[in-house]
Amino acid sequence: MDAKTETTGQPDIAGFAAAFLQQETGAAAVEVLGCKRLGGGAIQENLLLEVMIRGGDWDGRHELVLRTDSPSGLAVSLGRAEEFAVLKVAFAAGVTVPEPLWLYRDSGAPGGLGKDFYLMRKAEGSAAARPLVRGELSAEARDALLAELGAELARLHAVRPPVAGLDFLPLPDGAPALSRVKEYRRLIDAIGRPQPTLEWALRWLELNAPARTEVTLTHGDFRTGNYMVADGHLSAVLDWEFAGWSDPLEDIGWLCARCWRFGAWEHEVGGIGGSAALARGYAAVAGQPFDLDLLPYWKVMGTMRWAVIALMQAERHLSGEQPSLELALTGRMLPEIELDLIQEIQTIEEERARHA
Amino acid sequence: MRNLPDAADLLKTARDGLLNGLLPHLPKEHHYTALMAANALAIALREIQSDAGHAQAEATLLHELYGSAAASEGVDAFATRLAGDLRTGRFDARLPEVGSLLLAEVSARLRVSNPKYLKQAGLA
Repeated sequence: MDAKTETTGQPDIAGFAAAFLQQETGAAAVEVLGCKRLGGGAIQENLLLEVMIRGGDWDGRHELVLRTDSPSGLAVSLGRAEEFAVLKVAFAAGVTVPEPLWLYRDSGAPGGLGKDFYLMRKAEGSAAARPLVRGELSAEARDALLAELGAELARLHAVRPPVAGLDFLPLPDGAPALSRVKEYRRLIDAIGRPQPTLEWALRWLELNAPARTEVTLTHGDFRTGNYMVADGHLSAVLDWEFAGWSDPLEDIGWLCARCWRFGAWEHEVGGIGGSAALARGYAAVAGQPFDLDLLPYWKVMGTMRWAVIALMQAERHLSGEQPSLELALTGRMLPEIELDLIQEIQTIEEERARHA
Repeated sequence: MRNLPDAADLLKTARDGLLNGLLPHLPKEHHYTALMAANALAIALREIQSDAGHAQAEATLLHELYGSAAASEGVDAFATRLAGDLRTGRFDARLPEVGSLLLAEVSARLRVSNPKYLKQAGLA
């Protein structure tokens, strides 16, 4: 990838980052060789910076990724300073993440950038979901990748509260599943349009909530498209803005929900393969497998989460806040998600009736 | 007097023009937007051509859960009432049955938004 071939038209932020880097690294000079916008979330903006640092501890050429809020920021996820703190904890726990390096906190003073950002090492590979899902990998390579994903989750889920530096993350009040049901009802109420199918599924989630209260650090958006793969192997887990304390199975349910299989419904785990390989990789690190019996419940919870996100995205269009074809069409995806919810719950109930 | 060509014809013709006339000449980074626009036109076309399937599914749902007296309430009021009743547990003893009724209503909406999805889910 040649960073010089494309410019972002944002000399300000690159120049600002260069001056910041010079100060942080004690360099004599920092030259920006290239600056390119990377694909990514609608909420955050990721820039690839190619820099030449002269002098100091970081003397030499470096490829860094700068992550900041995009102009159309949405205040539902962690801020950049908080995300940086989570990333540091995940990195220290051995999770494969782009190494977080420096955080810029804007004080609001004149001469500042006006927003926070952080810099991390560039990770190799691609996060594109479709090549992974559409048979680029052999069956063995898929199982190996799934085991790696399981191992990453197990390393992350070994982090338990309290953790110094993460006190901004709220702990669930009681069982994490019930805490989510409350949160999703509150978000649906805030939009103010009745959602009978979602209410039906939320009531089921409430009546069938696992009683367990175990919480760990969770990624909150661990799915195909949010991890990078290089030569068939996992090279980085990205997008930590939804991290929090929750039931570790919430991450696994989200990864396995039908909405994140990119059409490859036969491959339960993110459109890549079956849950056995994921569970194997998880157990190899955690010392014990995750509870496969509870996975169907947490898949429903994952589908519910996507329904609520889709509603919120559609509302940004409907309210006129951000007219957008993509957001409008997301609203029309709701019946797909509702269908998933009903079918997933019906399958669990049928299974239960068979064993009764 | 009718306006001719009608809305369905205009939507279909606009979509064909977008996909066959415009898309091949667009740079690759604009294909996604063009395909989204084509999808939006297809949904709008199916919506204006749709039969009474959705209204019927809603009426059935209403009748099964609230009887004939509730039919006069109107769809929006009914949706609000059903959402509230589900949340407060009024239908707890009938959740599987309500699920099947909701599935019929959701399927009717999917026939407009994304009939292929219905097929993939084994319901078409």
